[in-house]
Amino acid sequence: MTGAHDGADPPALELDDVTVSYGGRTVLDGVSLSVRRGEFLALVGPNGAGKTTLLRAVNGLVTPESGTVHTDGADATSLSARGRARRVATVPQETNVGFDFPVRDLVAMGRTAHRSRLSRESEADRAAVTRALDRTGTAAFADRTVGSLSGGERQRVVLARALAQAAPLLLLDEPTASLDINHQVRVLGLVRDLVTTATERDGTDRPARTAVAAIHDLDLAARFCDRVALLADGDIRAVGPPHEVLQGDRLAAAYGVETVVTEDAVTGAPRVTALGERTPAAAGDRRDAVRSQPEADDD
Amino acid sequence: MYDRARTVAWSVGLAVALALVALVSATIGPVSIPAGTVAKAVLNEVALPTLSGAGVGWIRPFRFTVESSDAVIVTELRLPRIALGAAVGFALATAGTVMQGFFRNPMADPSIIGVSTGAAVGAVAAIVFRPAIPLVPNLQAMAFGVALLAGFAVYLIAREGGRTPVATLLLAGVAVQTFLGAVVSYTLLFAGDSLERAVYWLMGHLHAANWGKVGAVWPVAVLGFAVTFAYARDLNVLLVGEDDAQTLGVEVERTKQILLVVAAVLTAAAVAVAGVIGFVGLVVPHVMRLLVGPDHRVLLPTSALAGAGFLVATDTLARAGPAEVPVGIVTAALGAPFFLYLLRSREVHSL
Repeated sequence: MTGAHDGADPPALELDDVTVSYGGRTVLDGVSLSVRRGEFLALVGPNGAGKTTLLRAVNGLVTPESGTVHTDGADATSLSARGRARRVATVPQETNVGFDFPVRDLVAMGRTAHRSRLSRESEADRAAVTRALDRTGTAAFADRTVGSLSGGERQRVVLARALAQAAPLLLLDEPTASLDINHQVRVLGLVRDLVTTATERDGTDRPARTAVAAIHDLDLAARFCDRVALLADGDIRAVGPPHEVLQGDRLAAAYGVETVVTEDAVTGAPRVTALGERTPAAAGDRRDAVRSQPEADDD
Repeated sequence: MYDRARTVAWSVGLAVALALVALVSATIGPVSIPAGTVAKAVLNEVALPTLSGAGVGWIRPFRFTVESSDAVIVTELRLPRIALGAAVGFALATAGTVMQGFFRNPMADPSIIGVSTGAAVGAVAAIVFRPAIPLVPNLQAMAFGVALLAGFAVYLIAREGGRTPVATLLLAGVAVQTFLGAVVSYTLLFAGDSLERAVYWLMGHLHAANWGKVGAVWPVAVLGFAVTFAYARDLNVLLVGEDDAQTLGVEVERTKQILLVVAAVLTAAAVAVAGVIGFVGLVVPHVMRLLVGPDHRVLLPTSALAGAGFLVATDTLARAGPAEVPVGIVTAALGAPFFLYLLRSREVHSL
């Protein structure tokens, strides 16, 4: 589908100057972001920063007022729902999962974009569903109804549905928000693993899957993701490896709270501890300082 | 997991049940006719096309001896009514299943977008004004036309910025229904001698059945069912939410438009010939959902067939007593308590 032989792959996802408004309020203000193939990017930022809206601009649930969204080099806004679903799979924040459906049927809904209206389930569909169930560890309860599962199990089922979709770009909106620590680590570890191990089957060994996840928990983001994009007030304040982006001053400016970043003794990833509210005046100063050199390593 | 064989088994079973109900129904009436005689009279009507020298001819393979009065009662009086009841039940149950899935709301029924009340306005207007104003189209045409207009109006009112949120659609439907209900009441003030006929029509009835109406409704019912069945999988996906459905590859707005139009046409066709028959489109899909599960690939055909059987059975009850009552009264009188029973005993709180 993409220029497989020209050496330089287009980014898995590229947003260029994307602006989105709801009811007169600008939620995303000229956001530009590029995500490489085979990368796991975390979107972090305070509530209302525009993380969910950014994901919705990518999967087509909102149409940007201006700017462009490209997935694998193709203009995402001009795609049909079906065409987009073959490129972008979404694990939504809250799912009204059809509680009475068996798990396997819900996962099979991920194949919607690959099936024609009247066709029966193909061998490829069945194989994709089985693979997704195995991969997410949900095969054991494939015949139970979704309503009978725990929150953590349900989240993995929705992830399985997204995997069955076989789209190269995976979007996750707060995939760990309602999970206990065990399931948080399992879900993000699974996504990490999917991104790392999935390669194209054309012999090039190019990475086949890319993931972008909105994550509240900064420690988890730092631990599992290749890069972190920090959003605040509809704008990206910094993008880079976790230890570069997750720095006290930047976080203080974005979240309005004093933070201390240490190294986690076990994982070695940055560990963010919020201390307390900072004074508005100081916050304003530092925000300006960060904005003037967004990619720089402070201090 | 979806199992095609299970769908076929349920559908065949319900089709057989429908045939049996129809057969029994044809024996019941002021003149009691044995089931064997009914079967013979029906088989006598079977005609097979054959190629003769000049072209297509018809031969009747069965020549049972049936008393001619019995034959007329069965084929000209009871069978059209049974066939019409089946068509109306089939159409209403299909539309109800679509609406409940579409609105993800257990209280949704075929009349939810104002179609039934629209049909009532058209029908009552035809009954009241047609004697005086010859240009008014006949009752069925008026009912069908105004029903579709009402549905379309609700759709336009609910539409905002290229989307039709189901909650807005639902509320617009309720408001338009209330308004049109007032129009019906106001029109009835001028009814005069036709008041009785208008009120009778509003209660829902099948007594004016004839083969012409049967021939008009069945094709609409079957065609409408075929379209919705083609969208069965999309209806399943819509049940998990419109945003999810969109990201899974369903063109949500276009699918909603198609399903709305089909459900409105099915309801309008049924109501135009039979009046406002409540509860078939609400209760039957719920009962079938409890029996076969939420998957529309099995829910749609089983609901449609069960709706057909249910309406034939209730209409038989309606005309079996000493004085015939409108079938709409029977469906509501039986359906409502049964629905309440389900509500208290099983989980019908959600879809």
